[in-house]
Amino acid sequence: MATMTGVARGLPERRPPVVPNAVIGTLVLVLTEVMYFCSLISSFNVIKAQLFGNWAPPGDVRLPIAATAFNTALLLASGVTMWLANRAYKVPSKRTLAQLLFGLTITLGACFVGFQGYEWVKLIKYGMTMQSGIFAATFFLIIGSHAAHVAAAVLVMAYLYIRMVRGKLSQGGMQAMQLFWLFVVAVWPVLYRLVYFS
Amino acid sequence: MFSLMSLLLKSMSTSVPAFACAVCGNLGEDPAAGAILAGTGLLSVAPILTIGGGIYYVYRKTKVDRGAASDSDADSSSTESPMPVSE
Repeated sequence: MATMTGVARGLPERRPPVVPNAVIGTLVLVLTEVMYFCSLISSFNVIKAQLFGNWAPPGDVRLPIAATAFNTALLLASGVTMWLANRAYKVPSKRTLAQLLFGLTITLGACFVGFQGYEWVKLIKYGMTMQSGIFAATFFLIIGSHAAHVAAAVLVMAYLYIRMVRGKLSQGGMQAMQLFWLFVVAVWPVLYRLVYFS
Repeated sequence: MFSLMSLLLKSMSTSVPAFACAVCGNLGEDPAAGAILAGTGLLSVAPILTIGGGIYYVYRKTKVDRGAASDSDADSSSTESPMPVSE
């Protein structure tokens, strides 16, 4: 049986929201995340300034700047593919391309987390752990926070990818995911510059 | 009134610089003071910029959507049949 619309029942027609609810919710989440990372950056600067001259990794450990630069390029590339995927998803005839680009984004994000984990294992083997000094503790806290965000986002994207393949992913869901992913991508160069070149 | 004014001027001429907090007083001498001030600035500006950016995004989206809706209304009215529909 066909359901009656609001107009048919004499009610005013319900207008679609200007911004999808998922995007508004993600905007609020991103706001809290901005404050979280800003507080981490501020505390990092204050701790570094207080140590004044004694700010270095423990022992002979050197941070993998070049390898992380490559990793940064991977993450930035994933931001571009995510943006293109969202654009393609708006056009019904380009849904296959959107799936391909979204899958590529997930792969690049997973590679970023994988390389990051590999570098961490090497650093820990060299003796740089959370307990080996204030530099190491702040390094693992800031970079680890970001890595946790990337890992969580990759898992959510994998779930959304399944929904996309099944044709159940809404435009709003895709836009919300793009918003969060672009935030995660945009915050990384700031952290990389701050922590690895300090 | 005159005595009050003279008291005020005298207090201004004899006062020494007073700082609201110890951090501001040490600016330039202690590197941590600069870092704390920079952090305060960052944490003050970040929410304003983020909320402002969100509001601006919604404003732009509303404007674009309204423009698209008015364009489609104009198109549909121009393609309507000139013949009245009989009831």
